[in-house]
Amino acid sequence: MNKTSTKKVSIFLNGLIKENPVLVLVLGTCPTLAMSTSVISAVAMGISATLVLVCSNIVISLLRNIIPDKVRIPSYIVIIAGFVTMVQMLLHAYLPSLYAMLGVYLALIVVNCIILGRAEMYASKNGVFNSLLDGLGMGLGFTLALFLMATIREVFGNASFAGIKIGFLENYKIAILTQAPGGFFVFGLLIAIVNKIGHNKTVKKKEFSCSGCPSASFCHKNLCEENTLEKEEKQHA
Amino acid sequence: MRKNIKSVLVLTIICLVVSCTLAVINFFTADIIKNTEQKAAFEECYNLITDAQSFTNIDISSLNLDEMITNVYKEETGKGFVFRINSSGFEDGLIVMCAIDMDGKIINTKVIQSNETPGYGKELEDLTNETTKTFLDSYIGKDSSLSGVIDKYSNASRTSEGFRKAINAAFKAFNQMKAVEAKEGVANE
Repeated sequence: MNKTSTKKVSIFLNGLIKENPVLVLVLGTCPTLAMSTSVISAVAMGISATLVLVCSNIVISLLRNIIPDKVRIPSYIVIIAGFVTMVQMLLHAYLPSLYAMLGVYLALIVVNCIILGRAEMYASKNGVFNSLLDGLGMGLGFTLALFLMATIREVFGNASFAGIKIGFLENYKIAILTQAPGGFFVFGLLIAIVNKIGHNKTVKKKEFSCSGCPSASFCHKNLCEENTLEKEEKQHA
Repeated sequence: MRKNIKSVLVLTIICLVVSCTLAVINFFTADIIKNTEQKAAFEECYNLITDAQSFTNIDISSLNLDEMITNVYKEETGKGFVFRINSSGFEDGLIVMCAIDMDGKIINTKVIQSNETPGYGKELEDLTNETTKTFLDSYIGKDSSLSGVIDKYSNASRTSEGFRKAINAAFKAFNQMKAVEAKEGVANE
């Protein structure tokens, strides 16, 4: 495999584990906790968000030299909201049961940090194909994290998988897993496992401090980097 | 100044393009959405009154019904009314449908959708669950006094209260609908 195709593959794979938006970057926590009570709703949410992420990344990347810096955030939000509304209309028309299942969280994809974050940090600075791969990788990473969380919560909390009852677990349900505290518990557990597996491989916090912060251009402070450096100095001392 | 004009212009064009695209998609999907919603609503009506012939969706905007009542369907051969009620239990969005015959007795009732706690109140949607079946069956054939129904569903007291509230709203709306029909009958005579 030549250097260019290796780079393309690594852009795609970044979002799956190394820079997993949910388990490493800790973005999109609200839909993750809300939609991970059942596998079907988690996968549906993941696919919807991936679709919006890929489409918005492509369009934003295409328009990156046209959109003035001053209006880039409102422009990104309009583009993302447009795609979310399209997905909403199509689901409502052709998959109404899925539309009802996703409820208000479908519309809330508009303000999903992962999508706006990738638009600002990646699509606005890179070419169309790379942005597509980044969107796809990040979207699948989001779907994977949701699927893992939903599987644990549904199997052990509700004794079922994708709505199919698991008979031998019926009397051993841990009902709290289907509620908010159980969601946080599973979320923390998965973050810990990913940190352990990806030790030294996942992105370190300092790598996405000021340089990757969407507010860096109007913040004009290097507080995040200074804090990281201070901590490192203390550790060395 | 020129930069500001460019910013406004670009944002306006983006908004216009997005709006036009949405208008096109809405043009193709609006009718499908309307049909799907109507079909879904009527499907539930047929599940509640199994021997029904056909239903009409009654316009309730001018009837001053309880705000929990979102839809009223009338069985055209006079078997009764079906009410769709948006109640709240532990969370908002407890959607209940209740069919009442012309004598003021419940034909059938069902929880269509809810945001209640899985494993507790959410189970009220699952008709394969024996507890749910017993709970809902206890309402069949009861009048507005609701005497003899099971008060609480499993460990979901807030969901049970929300469900009861929905049934009471359905009976209130039923009486109003009967009064409206009686008035219309007199006017026709």
